[in-house]
Amino acid sequence: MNLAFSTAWPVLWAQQATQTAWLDEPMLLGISRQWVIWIAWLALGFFGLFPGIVAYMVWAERKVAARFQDRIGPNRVGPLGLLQPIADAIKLITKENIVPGSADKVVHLLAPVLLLVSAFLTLAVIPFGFGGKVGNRLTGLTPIDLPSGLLYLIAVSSMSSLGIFLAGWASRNKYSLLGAMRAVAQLVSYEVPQVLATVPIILWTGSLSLVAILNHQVEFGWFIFSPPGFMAFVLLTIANIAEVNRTPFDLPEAESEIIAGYHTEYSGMRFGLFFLAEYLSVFSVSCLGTILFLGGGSLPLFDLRDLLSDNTTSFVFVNAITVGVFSVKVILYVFLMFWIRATLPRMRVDQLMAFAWKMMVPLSIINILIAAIWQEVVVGHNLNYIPVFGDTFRGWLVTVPLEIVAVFLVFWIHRVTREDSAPALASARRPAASLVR
Amino acid sequence: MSFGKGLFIGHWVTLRRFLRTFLLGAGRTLKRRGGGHQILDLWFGDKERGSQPTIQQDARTEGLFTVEYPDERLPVYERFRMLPVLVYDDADGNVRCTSCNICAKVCPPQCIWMTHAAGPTGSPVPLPEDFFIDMDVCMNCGLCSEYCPFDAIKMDQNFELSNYERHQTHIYSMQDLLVSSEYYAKTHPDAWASADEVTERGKVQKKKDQRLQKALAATKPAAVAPKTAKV
Amino acid sequence: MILTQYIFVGLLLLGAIGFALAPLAVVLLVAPVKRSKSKSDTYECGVLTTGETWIRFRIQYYIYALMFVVFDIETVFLYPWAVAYGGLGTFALIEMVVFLALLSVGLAYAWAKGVLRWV
Repeated sequence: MNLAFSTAWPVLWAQQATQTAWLDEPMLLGISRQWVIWIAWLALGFFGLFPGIVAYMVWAERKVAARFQDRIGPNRVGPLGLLQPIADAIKLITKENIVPGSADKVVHLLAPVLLLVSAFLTLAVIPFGFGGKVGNRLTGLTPIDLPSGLLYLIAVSSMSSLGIFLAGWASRNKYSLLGAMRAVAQLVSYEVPQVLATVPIILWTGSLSLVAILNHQVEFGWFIFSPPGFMAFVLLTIANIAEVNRTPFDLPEAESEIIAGYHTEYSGMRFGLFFLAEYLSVFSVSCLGTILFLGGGSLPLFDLRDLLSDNTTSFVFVNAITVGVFSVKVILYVFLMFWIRATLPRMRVDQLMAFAWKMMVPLSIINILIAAIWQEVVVGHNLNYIPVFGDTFRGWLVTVPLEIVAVFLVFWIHRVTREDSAPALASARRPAASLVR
Repeated sequence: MSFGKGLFIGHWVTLRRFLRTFLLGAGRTLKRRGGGHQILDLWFGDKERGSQPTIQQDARTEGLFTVEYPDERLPVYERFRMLPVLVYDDADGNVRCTSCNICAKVCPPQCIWMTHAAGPTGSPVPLPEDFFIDMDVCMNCGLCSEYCPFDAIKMDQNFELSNYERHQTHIYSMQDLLVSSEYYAKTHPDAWASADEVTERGKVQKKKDQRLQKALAATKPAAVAPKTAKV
Repeated sequence: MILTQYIFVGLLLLGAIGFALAPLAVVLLVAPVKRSKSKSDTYECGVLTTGETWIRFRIQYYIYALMFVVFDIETVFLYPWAVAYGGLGTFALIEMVVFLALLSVGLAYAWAKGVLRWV
């Protein structure tokens, strides 16, 4: 057992702790520097920028969806419809808040708040840029760098299913309750592959910290550039889309069947909070996908760490670039979600659950093993070993066939065991035969 | 095993649609600039209603389909019909309608009614005194214009009929309904120039003249008698 | 030092609750209030709701919840394994193969028993 490795990250954190003592120095009115930074994050990021991003993500979605359908999209309010989100916000705030008489009033109020809290908390550990440099290690432009960041993120994001369920239950409406039950069943089912898809990352990085994952990718290349990494990326993306209830997994709010699902009884600003939380979680899962697989704010061939030195100018410069690169990746990821939404129709409930348990879960379990094999073949058990081309090539040679076999196996088993497959369909197509029976 | 092929093809199809709205429509949409693209899109600078550019669209149209009404509009074709109007001749200013009541009789929803004009003695004159169409009831079938023996009632193409008040303004009186034959000739050039309508116009003109003369001749003795007028 | 980071989580928690409640407070000031009996009815497309809404649900949902718990605990075991994997050697791989195989057998059993069948 390589002790040096397993103790590597705690040691690094200890180093960082000693080197970040300056954070405790008083800065303004006796408030320590750390608090000033945190309050700045809260005020500028969480209460300023992120809601703004969400508002314009709604605008962008409407524009993009319109283009997919040969329309123009919002263009009457301001140039290119850019003031549309503001108009929407004003409308939502000035609308009457209707609470059904039979509803559980307190929980009805609590549910959207809980959902929004969950969406906010997930963003706390995302490194949006490179941040500073301690030794050769980036500190990440993040509010907090938790050693168990990924675990925290998953724990916090699964709070959203609680919020949704409370909303459906408190409304005391059958459609709401049905939507909420569906939502919970879907969210817990897709949480399993979502979590399992991140295991390869942890396995290769040896840490749960998102900053450590960013560092690893800056050092050794993005995780998507390996067969198990790519597979995990695909699995995570599908699970992410299901986790934020977007088409084709938007059964909890399937308007053709259950009106609006769990937020049927919500109107005005309370509905607005649901809306905000939904798009905020779209943003946060996009950030998650970007930071886990697409290298965060790093560029593919150019190492931006070299530009980072002790002075403030380089700090601002490098972070501006990395935040820009990060934004571009997030925008592409979000566009992917819009694109899928514009293409695929809604799934059936049984298909949805079967897809999660019979395909995603087995595939992600197999993928973890393939990721471990990749680690064995390419890197071995030495943290500081930088794989050469031959190692990577060998890794591809071993894992690509394994991935293909795994995919085909899972698809084949699913197809063979499917109950609505060939015989059932054949009898459905022959109405005369069923009449005879 | 063909699993998933449709998934990729489907995504390609939608992406192509998305991109084509930029590639195909780019020049056209930017040139069109119906509205909403300006930095400040206020009321001034708007074209007068009805004079906005028209956008031609057919089965071959690709890219953006949106017509930014009211800044742009689709062309109105000649056979398009909305509400009926009464045509008067430019030449003499005479209303073609003789108040024969045929249109009111054939009107399926019965939305037309009129009053007969009376001469000074109270004897009928082949002219309408007033003419009403309830536009809420009218179903735009065009039977009135089909049956009209004098080509007096015609289908108009104006479809922008919204109002702030729906009780008084939605019953069109003769003032609202009268349009010149020149207007009709402009909106229906083919029909106006067709041989049918030309001969019909001639015939109607002749017939109307005759009847008018007859009516005038019939009322003349009464008309010249100033006694009744004074009383 | 590391634990102090969680202060920010608490801060953000309070901030997020405040951020969610602030617009609702504005709504209290700005939005109109016009109560009526039919407006506060349960919205079911104009049809009066019949029967109790808070009823027991199908067992299927709970079975999925149980499955979720099983696999979530699996993840709890997988995370430390994955974190320590780099330092553990090939033995860890074999160990995890056994662990995952056991779980896969469990999944296959549930599958064969028709637990994963929705309808």
